[in-house]
Amino acid sequence: MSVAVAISFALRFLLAFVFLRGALHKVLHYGNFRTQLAAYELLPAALLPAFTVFLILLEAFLALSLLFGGSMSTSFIAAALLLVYAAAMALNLLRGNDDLDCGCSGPAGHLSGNPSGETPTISWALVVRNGILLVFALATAIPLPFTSQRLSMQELSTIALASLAVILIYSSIEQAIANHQRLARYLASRSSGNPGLPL
Amino acid sequence: MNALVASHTMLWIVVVILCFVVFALMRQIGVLHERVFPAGALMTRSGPQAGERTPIDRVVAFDDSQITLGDGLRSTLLLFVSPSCPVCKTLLPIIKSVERAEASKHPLQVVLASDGESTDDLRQHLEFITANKLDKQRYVISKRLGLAFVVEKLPFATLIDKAGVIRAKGLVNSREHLESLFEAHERGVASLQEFLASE
Repeated sequence: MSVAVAISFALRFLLAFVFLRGALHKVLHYGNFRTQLAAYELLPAALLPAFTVFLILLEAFLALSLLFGGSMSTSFIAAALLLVYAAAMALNLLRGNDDLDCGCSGPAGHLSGNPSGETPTISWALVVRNGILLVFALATAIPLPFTSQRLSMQELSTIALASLAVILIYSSIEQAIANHQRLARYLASRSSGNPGLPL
Repeated sequence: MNALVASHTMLWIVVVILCFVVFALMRQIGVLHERVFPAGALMTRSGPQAGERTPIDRVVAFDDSQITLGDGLRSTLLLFVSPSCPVCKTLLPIIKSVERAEASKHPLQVVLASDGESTDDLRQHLEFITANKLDKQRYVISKRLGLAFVVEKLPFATLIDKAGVIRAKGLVNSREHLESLFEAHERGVASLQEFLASE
């Protein structure tokens, strides 16, 4: 087993984690997500319900497919979806709609929805995040010099540990983005001379 | 060779533990931000303050009926919204549920206020009302009202007691923010921030 195989597996599991969480988040916050999607102002209102369901099914399919094998086309679909998300965010940032709820899952999910001091750079951080995930998705499309022999216990554990580490590091970075947003919001509310805040 | 395997295994263990530690650290920073930045609605220094009388006590609703702010019978939650504000939309179902919860404790009327009086704006308001199943008798379009309360950012809420005195006000983004207004009123402080600062 080459290092490339381990990396490819780890990246695929990371993407599966991201999509699975995304699908779950959209199912659990279905109504909210639809409103957030509507606020992106990219789709006619009539298409919203169907498109929301489509996104959920697509993400769930991608997650499962990446988890159990995955193919080159899965990787490309994943990359395309990430590109669409990044483009939707970037477009609204350029339109100046930086008070938009991201609708993303994870700690950075509440992109803003705050009245005091939006920080558009933070939303750009999410666009960059999507770009990096996109590169990962494309990387998993590279065909591996895969041998038909079964992976040994040691190789399997390496893949499992590497995946765990990658997912944890990714989650930490997302949390850091969310923390940065909160801090920026807090500082903005302080500098705007808010009288009621302690500290 | 044995030493190599041992050191490799050791390193993996350390890497995974470190990943967990970093993630836990990030989470803790996030929690810390939540604690430092209180959940209460953000007060603004401008406009009529809590304890003062409402600058306007009679408004005309969308269906031309009269609404009295502080009619001696019930308190009023005056909420400034706009059809073009995504946060407002996510707040609407929350308002309905808070209204139900608070109305069981004391008589309360919820009045939604917005501005924009051109024909085009009126069509948008009507769409907003129908799409969100709002009450036309409790929907006010008045630029004067927003100016009188010096509303700078949406969604902005003001709680007026039955005698027509402003009890609490602030920017509201979530259920917690809305509830903090009632909480502040019940505790006899102008804002949750003021309450925390006095502790």
